[in-house]
Amino acid sequence: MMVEAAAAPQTIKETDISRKVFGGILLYDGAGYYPGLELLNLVIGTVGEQKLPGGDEVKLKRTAHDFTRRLVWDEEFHLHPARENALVDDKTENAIRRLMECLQLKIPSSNNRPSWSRAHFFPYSPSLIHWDARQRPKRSNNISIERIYLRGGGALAFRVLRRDPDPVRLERCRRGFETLLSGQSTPLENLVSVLAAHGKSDQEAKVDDIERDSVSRGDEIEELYCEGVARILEHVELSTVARVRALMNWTGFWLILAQHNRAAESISDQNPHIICDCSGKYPQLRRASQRCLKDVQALIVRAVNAAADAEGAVLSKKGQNNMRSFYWATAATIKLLNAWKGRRHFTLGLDILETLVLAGCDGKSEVPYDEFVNNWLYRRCRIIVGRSAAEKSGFLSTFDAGIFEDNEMSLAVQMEAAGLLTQYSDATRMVGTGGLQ
Amino acid sequence: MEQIRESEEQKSNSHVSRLHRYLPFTPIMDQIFEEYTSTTDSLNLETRAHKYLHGAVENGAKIVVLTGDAGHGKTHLCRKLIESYLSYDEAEARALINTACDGNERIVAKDGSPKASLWIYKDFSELPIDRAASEIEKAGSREEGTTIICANEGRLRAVLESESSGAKCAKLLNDFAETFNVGLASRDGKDHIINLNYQTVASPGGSLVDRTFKEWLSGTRWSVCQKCSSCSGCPIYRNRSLLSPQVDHKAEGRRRKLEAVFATVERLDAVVTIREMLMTVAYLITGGLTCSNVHERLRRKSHGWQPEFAFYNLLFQSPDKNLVEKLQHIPVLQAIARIDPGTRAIRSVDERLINQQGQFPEGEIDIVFEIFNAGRNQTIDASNGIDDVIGNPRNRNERKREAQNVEKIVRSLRRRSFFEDELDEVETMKRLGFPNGGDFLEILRGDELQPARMATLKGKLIAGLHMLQGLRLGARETYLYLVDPAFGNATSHAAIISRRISLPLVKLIPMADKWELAKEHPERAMSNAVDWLERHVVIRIKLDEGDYEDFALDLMMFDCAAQASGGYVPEEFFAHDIRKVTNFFGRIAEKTGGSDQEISLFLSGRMHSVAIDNGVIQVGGGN
Repeated sequence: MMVEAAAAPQTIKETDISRKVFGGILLYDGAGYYPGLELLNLVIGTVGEQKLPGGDEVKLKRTAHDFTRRLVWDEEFHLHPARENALVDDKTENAIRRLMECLQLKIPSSNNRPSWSRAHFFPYSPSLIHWDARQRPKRSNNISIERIYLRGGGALAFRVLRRDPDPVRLERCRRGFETLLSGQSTPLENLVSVLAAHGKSDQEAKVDDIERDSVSRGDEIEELYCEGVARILEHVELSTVARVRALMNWTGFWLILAQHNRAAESISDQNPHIICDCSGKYPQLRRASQRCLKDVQALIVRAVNAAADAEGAVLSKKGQNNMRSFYWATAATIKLLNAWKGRRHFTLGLDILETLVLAGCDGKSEVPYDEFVNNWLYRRCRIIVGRSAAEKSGFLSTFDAGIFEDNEMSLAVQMEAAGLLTQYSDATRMVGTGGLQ
Repeated sequence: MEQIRESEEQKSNSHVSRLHRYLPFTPIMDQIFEEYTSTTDSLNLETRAHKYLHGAVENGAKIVVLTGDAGHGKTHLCRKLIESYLSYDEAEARALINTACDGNERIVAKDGSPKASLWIYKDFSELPIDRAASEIEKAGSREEGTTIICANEGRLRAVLESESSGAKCAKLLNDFAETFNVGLASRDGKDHIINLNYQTVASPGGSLVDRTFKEWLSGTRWSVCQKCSSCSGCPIYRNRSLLSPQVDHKAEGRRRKLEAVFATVERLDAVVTIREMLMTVAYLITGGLTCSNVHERLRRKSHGWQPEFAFYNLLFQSPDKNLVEKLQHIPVLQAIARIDPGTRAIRSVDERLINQQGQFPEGEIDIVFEIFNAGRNQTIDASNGIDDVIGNPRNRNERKREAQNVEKIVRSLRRRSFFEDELDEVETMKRLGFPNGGDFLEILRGDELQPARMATLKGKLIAGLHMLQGLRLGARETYLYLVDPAFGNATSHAAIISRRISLPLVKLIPMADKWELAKEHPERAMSNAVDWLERHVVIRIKLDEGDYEDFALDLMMFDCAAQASGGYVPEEFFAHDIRKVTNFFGRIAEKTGGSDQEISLFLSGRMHSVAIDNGVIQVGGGN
């Protein structure tokens, strides 16, 4: 008699699991600044009268900026057919190449010179915003606009924004994007728009499937994102560059916050917080922060495996790593981690600090430092810095309260040096963007 | 025989005990709170704020708000005013401060004359915000007398902006905001706001810190120490000697250096209150030791422990791990520790201190160290450098210990050398870690500076600001170039220029000079209302007609920009300062914009122009 072998569980796609647990596709390839870039692409490329349109799906026209990217990073650019129609001579070509190279979006994982399809421009100016593209077939002049690094994080953020249940806030975001992305006539914009016109763009608008399939849940964490974006966009007292930079960092930060919280929710884990070491003085705090980073990653892996189990399937090791690595790679890029490699812990670098202040303070108004640390950082953004936050999270049973007091103090010193905090008296410290103006 | 025995007895100096009452180390620190100070041994420092306050009240001020951190002396000023304006003596004034200064009582002159009267709120923080706002309204409607309100700046803002605030609060709020814009303590001569956070303890010519030293170190207070058997080994008496011009001819120079240290931390944006200054001075003289502590220590060991208690070491480093936590109560010491000259290696200084003999007199207790080296205790007289420290370490532990000993002694020698050497202000700033601090101080002299020198300094600063934006240009540029904010960082190789501003439109001015209106009314200027120190250099950029933008550089930011003019800037170290500078320029560049038709490019140290013709790009110039 033959015994029938038990059927092996089928392997499930990582994108499906990611969408199920987190609401969107959060994979390592698309970590870091790419979600922010994707979001801006979707905002600027969506066809229609207004930014952030409603409805179930959006149609999109994309720009590849392949001509400029090949000019800067492709060694075979001299073979490009449009070269002589755009640039008068070699001197011009070299000058523009060197100029545009300065605008590269940083690739923290590599120090090597990237290929042109690997490199992107930082979207400082509307015409610099572009989608992924590659040559198909390789080394041909046929350019295909397709997703490579823009994997879906930005699509989730975009969907959350445009489906914001608060109509007033939605309108604020629409107006903010309009101000940020329209009507610019700077020398950079003028030059880049000419270069972009020589590259490939979609002739016809297409529905973005990834955005359509992303899931907006309308929960508290999504509200936080919409609130932060509305505030960042309304900081018109700051330069466009500062707002774009903050938007990119805020999108990255929110995605890892959502990833952490939704992973915890899905396996009913309580109290998802991160511990930031801002003082650098106490080994206990440093170790706790390092351990916290490991725990968050382990939690994400547990959550995605549990979701795969529920589907009666298994998730490949690579798939697990891809989702886990999205977390640390994004955190490291936005300076929420001390480093890209080595022993890492949570900290608050200048970029993320500036972002959190822009997202936490309305316009030119100021917020008391205590409220910023306890309400905004801890309650809303789930970051433990000060004593009160540590107490509420139950850390004071194992740690000396003085450590967290000192941690809070060190953060205030850093913020003051960065112009993000004004000390009116020994009793009153206010957080705001006054020092950046 | 009897007489000799008596003169060799261990004595206790009551003045040292008094100084201890200024230290936040024990519960007896009553001298640092006005309400608890006793009249017999109080320290009365005359401040410019008191003169201004008295003058304002004499001239019929309606409301005077004294604002600033706790410890600036708001209550002290009220007490002094009661004495000077209402003719009470010190003890009576103290009693009134404790009993009649909650705003409910009208305090009239001692002779009963009704023309002079005061309503004093010695601490607005004691009142709920709504009540405080209504008290301000009430004060505005009083027909007679002057109302004095003491409130820290944060509390004052909260009260003036509260929902129950009325017209008077709104006016004061406006006046308060304007003090920062126009630099006037009063706009109409009726309502005054004296912001004591502008008050300095290190004003040039008779600073509060110098007057405190003078008061505490002179006179007969120390004569008892000369009869004490511990005198020759006492670090407290040694500090007194090092800082008293009657005893040591170099003392005057040392006190000037102490003033420079306080002025430098204030120029780094630290607020030093009078209370903090008093605590620091008491600590520098005593090191937290009492007479009995000294006798006890000397019984155990006659030498080797005193260097840690020398004032120049106490200023930058705690002598004892147990004291570290207590010293947190004197925040200025943490700010001062960052500019420790002991941690600055300057070759010319170190070679002299380490290699040359007889830099300091032999056998002085503050440079005789006892160290544990190669398994035994060793006495090192550092007047001859560190040769005696160097042994033959046989293992890693001994090597480490030797390195620690050398570090300790060298740091101590560098600090002493800083206080002993005759240094000009450039060299003084260099030793404190600001190689370009001398230039900063020169600019702060304002009109005294020769135009040619100002042009040189401006050229240097502009070169630094160019460098921070990624433009490597020389110090002789006649324009300030503003880079498109997308390129604004020091590692860019190329950039688009958003705007260029002719150099005559860029001015470097001291902080007080930026307030035009205050120059027209010097009697009400904030710089005359308190002891004043110029803390910032302001870059004023004139844009369009009458419109200008100001950017204040503190010492750190100035040093960053000036260092950058040399062609390199440590970006990580100065990250915060660079971010502030680039944000400011980015905003101006965007605000003013450039001509749409003209695109200027900076590449390889040269300017190029870009022309776009029918979608074809051409770069020219730069030859």
